[in-house]
Amino acid sequence: MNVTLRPDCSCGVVRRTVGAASRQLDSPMIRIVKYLLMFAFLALLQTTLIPLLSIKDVYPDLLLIGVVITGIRHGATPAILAGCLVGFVQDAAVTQFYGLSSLAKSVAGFVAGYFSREKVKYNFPVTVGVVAATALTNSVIYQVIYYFDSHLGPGWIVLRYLLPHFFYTVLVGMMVHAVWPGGLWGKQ
Amino acid sequence: MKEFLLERPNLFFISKREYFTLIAAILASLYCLFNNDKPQIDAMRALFLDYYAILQEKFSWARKLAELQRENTELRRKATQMMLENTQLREAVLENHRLRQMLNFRERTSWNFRTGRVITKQRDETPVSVTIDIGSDNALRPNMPVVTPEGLVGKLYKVYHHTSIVQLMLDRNFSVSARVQRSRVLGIVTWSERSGLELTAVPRTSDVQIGDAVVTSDSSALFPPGLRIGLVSGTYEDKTSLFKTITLQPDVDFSRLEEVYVIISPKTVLSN
Repeated sequence: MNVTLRPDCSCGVVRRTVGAASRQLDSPMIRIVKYLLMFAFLALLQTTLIPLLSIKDVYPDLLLIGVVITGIRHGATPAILAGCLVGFVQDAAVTQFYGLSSLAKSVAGFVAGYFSREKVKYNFPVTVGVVAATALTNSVIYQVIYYFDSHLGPGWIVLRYLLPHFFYTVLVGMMVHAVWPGGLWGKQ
Repeated sequence: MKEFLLERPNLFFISKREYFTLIAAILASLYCLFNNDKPQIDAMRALFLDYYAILQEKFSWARKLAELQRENTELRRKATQMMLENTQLREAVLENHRLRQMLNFRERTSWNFRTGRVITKQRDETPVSVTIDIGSDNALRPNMPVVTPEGLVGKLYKVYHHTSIVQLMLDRNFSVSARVQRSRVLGIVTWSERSGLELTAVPRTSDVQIGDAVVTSDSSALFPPGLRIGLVSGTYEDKTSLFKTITLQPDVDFSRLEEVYVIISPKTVLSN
């Protein structure tokens, strides 16, 4: 792999200075199929296993974890596209609120991709930060629009829905990071 | 770097592709979002419209200014158009009035006329000739009398196929036999550069008063009798002369000649 990482500051931010060789030897089509399978698997878990793990109607968003994986491994553009498409499917299949999940996950994909490993050094705190930033972005956009003009107060929405979803998704993201081969960053 | 990207715009799009992708994804999502019938979207739409109305109100002065400018331009155009139409209508009214006068004049008399329109005239204070748009093709001949409803104008001087030159009474070479209508005193009307239109060869003892009408006499070979020439505006007597000098105010306003009549059968007139 013809890539050199040079530390820019003490916080772990690095820049790629030499080469742009592919990290993976898979062709783009195979990679796309792999990610489609990954999202299908995550969707299956989201609809079967995750409801069993819900706490007072609060449950993590595994599809968002998939978007985070896409973002930190391949950058913002694939993550935005993945977030948009997965969001559309989620809107159509679950909420019937067309455009809401796709909007939230598109922006979340951009956030996740913005901290892709071409810019940030791989370590656990950075991983938590990326997942947290992505989950927070997704939750804020989704919950603000979903509960817009509702009888619920903003404080209640934040405490009852936004923060629990956020924390639960970050927690599950860390669990996935622990059990997924190569972590969320993939093999270096 | 900037010049490099400007030279290769596709590289700019490639380097910023994540932003363009994000914008496209957001637009697609918003399109779907705002096509929902959910109450949240209705509320957002209402909120958006409220803020939009406020913003529109704040910035409406610019739109109003542009509209005012456009309206002002349109009103100016309409005002100009209406002014022109008004002028045309006024001209038509005046022309109608003149033609009615001429029609009455024609109906009052049994003379045979040709109507001519003045196409050129001198811009002098005392023009001596005008050109009219009828000529020998209209059976005109030289020396035919030219009149208006107000009175005698002059006579044809040159006649061409389609145009004619009218010698006005204001030409010093023009003279016509005339008489004072009230007292039947005879004289000769000529133009004098000193005192204007004059009735000459009037004996000092003749009864001529200011305001008397002067008409053509029946002793003229060219002009039918009774055509109005003007009013006596002054009489002057020279003790060394046998004749009075009588100044006339012509009935015809020569500066405003537009349509004239040419009498083509004076003999008939005389016989009638």
